[in-house]
Amino acid sequence: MHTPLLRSLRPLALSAILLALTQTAGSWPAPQDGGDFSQSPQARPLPTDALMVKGAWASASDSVTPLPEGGSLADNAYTNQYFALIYVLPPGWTQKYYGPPPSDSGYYVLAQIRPAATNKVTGRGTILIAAQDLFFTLVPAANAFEFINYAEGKLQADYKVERALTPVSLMVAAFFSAIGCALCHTPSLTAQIQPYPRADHHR
Amino acid sequence: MKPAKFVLLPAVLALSLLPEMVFAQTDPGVRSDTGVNAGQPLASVTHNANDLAFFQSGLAQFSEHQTVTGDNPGLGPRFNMDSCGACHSQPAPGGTSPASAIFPNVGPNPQSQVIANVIVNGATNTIPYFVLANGPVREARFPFFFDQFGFPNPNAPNGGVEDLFTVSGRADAGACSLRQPSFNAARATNNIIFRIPTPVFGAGLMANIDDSTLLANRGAQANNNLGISGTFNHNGNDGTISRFGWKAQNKSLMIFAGEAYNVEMGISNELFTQDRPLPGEDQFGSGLLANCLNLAGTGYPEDITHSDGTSASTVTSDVGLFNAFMQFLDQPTPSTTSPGGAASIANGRRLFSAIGCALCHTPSLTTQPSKLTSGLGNAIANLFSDIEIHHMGARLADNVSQGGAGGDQFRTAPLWGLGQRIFFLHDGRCSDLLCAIEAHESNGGEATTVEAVFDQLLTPSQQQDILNFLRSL
Repeated sequence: MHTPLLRSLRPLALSAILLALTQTAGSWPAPQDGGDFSQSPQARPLPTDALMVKGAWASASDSVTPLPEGGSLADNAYTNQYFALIYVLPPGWTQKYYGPPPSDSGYYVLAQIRPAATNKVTGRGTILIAAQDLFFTLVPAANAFEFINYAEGKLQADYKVERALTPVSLMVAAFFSAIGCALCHTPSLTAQIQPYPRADHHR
Repeated sequence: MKPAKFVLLPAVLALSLLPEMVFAQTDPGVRSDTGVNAGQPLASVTHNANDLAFFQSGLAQFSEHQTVTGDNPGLGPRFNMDSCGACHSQPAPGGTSPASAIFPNVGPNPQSQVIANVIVNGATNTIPYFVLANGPVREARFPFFFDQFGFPNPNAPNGGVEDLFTVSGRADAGACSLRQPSFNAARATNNIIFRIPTPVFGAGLMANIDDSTLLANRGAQANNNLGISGTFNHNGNDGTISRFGWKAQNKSLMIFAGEAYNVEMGISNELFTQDRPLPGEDQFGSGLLANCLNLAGTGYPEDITHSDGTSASTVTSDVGLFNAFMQFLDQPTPSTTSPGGAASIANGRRLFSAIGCALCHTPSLTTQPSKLTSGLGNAIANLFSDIEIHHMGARLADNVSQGGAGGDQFRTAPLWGLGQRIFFLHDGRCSDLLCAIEAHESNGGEATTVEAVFDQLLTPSQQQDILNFLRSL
């Protein structure tokens, strides 16, 4: 169904940007043995005095080391030191509700942004900034390209791929893709960003 | 050490320059033009005389009113109601909170009638402030124990059920003298939360979904870009996924039945073998008074398997019969045309998935083979739940932890039968679907973005389609 409203939304609506920050190469093999790692050549004992906690938790408790979930909104921009990310917001947009804690599967809702209640200029919508720790992910993907590729392969019936997953170059190595749905269009961008010079940059 | 590797996912989910929409959509209310569409046994059960006898015996036991002594002994010394079926009655036995003025007009909140119906003595019990004749059946919990000054102690988590009533003053209760919990004090200190009965239609199908199916479904929804990322509550005994109760804290229907028999009605049984004091009496007191123990005079447990029974259903314990009844209850039958017509319902179903509701409210899952009855095996359970627990945020948080579920985590409520439910959310705070949907948006909640999409991107007509679809279930 395409109402006039939906048709008018088409050029503007639903875009998704996927950025991948890769600090290392390679991936951990998915367990296929029910969790028995006794035969795994990569099995390692816990370090002495290790504390096991449930789910994904902050890896540092000091106030200096940036945390993935440690971003903030100020001066009309979302800033996250951990990801070296600055996301400039449309004028008059704000965060009404903060997100849930990091999930067991390493999914971080970093910011949920929408027009302020007083904002009558830019209409309605929501911006979700999230991150996925690929070590914990339930998606069989070792990098951002595989991650977005998997997403495209699992689209619901209402969605369709309007542009093939295509590598593009910005200031960093990047991948670009566009997805559409019956409600609106969903252009998606997946980019791998190197915050530090690394030899395996283009791996 | 291998450093972390992240995928960053900024998503602009909509940007519209259109003026504010007028929200004219309404909850169609309890579906009343299709008859009662729940409460029947599975077809395979009706075709097997033995299974049907079990189901019917279970239904009879489920509907029976218990007393302290006599033919149906064991009630109390503390309880929330004297019968399973009194609270699980909308729109049929096995359901949830009823109402007298809403289809199918089962009757007023039975907890509001306990004095009038001489279930409790009005001289020793009062009706708590949160029990209303036209409100939901409720159990109460205090998230924290009180300190010596009467203030909630955030360092002493409680969360156990505070039974509403006592047997004190009943003719069959002897000298047992107990006071009701201090609900007014709990209200004054904002230290009280509520739960309403969960319907058990289709519960046998839910029990028979293999963990691997649930895990695969979780994996399939993992890359959703909408802020959703649930987990499972697990049974502490065998480590498998638990699935019953508002926080998926109960592993099986047998445990669910045994726990409810003890906690809600005060009847000890072969799974929960002692009479239950209040959490405070157990943690910081000396337990139940001696003259409140063994009130039935039968010894413990009060509900047992009967070695002197003459048939399968008379040998089986009450808890076993409750289990059989729940196992064999078929899932509710949705309507394809009411309310709003077939086109609206179909569009609502499509939109429900398209905007992300179905990421948690999984429309259907397939069961594993069943030894109980063929109707439970390799069947499609249209439960609209992933049985995962999700962070629902501050607005819905009750600060009660159960198993692996924390204070704001709740199992995705199955939506089958929603069209004929009166009260929504774990505490029954809403009787309008829009209220329940709105409550999904909150600080710390996983569903905030999806709710925002519902609010801001759908037209009133599309929202109405979703409401019609939900009331068709």
